[in-house]
Amino acid sequence: MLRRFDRLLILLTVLGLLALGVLIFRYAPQEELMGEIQRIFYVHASAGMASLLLFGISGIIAGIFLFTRSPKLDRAGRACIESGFVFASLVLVTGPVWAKQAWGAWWTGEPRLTTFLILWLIYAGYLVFRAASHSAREPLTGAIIALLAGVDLPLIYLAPHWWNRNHPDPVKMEYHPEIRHVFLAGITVTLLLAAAITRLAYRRMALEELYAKDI
Amino acid sequence: MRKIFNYSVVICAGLSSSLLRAQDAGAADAANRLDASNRQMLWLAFSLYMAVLGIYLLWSESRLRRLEKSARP
Repeated sequence: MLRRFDRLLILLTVLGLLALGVLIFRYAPQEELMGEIQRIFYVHASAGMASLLLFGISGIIAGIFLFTRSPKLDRAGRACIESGFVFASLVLVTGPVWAKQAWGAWWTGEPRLTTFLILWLIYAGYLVFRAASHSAREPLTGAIIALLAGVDLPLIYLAPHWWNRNHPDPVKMEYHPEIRHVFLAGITVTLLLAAAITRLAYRRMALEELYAKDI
Repeated sequence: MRKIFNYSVVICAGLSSSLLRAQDAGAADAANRLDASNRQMLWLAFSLYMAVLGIYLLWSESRLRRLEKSARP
């Protein structure tokens, strides 16, 4: 059974997703330069922020785990990475669609795209390792991988500043007020969704530890 | 509650698609609306978004159900 807080969180997320859909397609004005395709930005950028936030939190948790070796922290770190991986995947499926319209190509060797793909591959490797490993040292190895993977996080932010780039500038909130409102709503709903997914993943992992991992 | 969560993703996908189609209908008589290619790509992006989210939630839900089943005496 889900706890009352989880039920409330899921209810808020569902309502938020519905409201966000209406806001994106009905309230947000058409952006002058890019046209309708810019509406992808509301879910693409907020998913990117959520994934980086969750990966960052998992790195911090992994650091604390190295000192405490608490199973709860290990589980929380794993849940953050699984949830972050979902949002990173959402970034990677929505981004190329925008790129095709804006740049004329699904994918380029642009620094931010490349560093983000590397990040996605690292965490994909982490999840495969955690799913396949049965070793007693699995949580420790997982924490070390999570810590090392965190090195790529600042690279994603800094890469466009170091090399030539096409990717739009970081979000500065200097938009038309209606675009800003919808973007802030997008971030809020995405963070609610991230919290709901992470809590459900944590709960599932707790059951996995109690019962067979290979079910 | 989890079912509601999962089904809501499907509902959101449907709602987004229908809103886009409603805009398509209006676009026919509005010269300043965006071109058909942009609309199709926008529809593709939101469909992919919902598909990825839906696949993950259904996988998570089925795994949780199997675990709960095995937990019962």
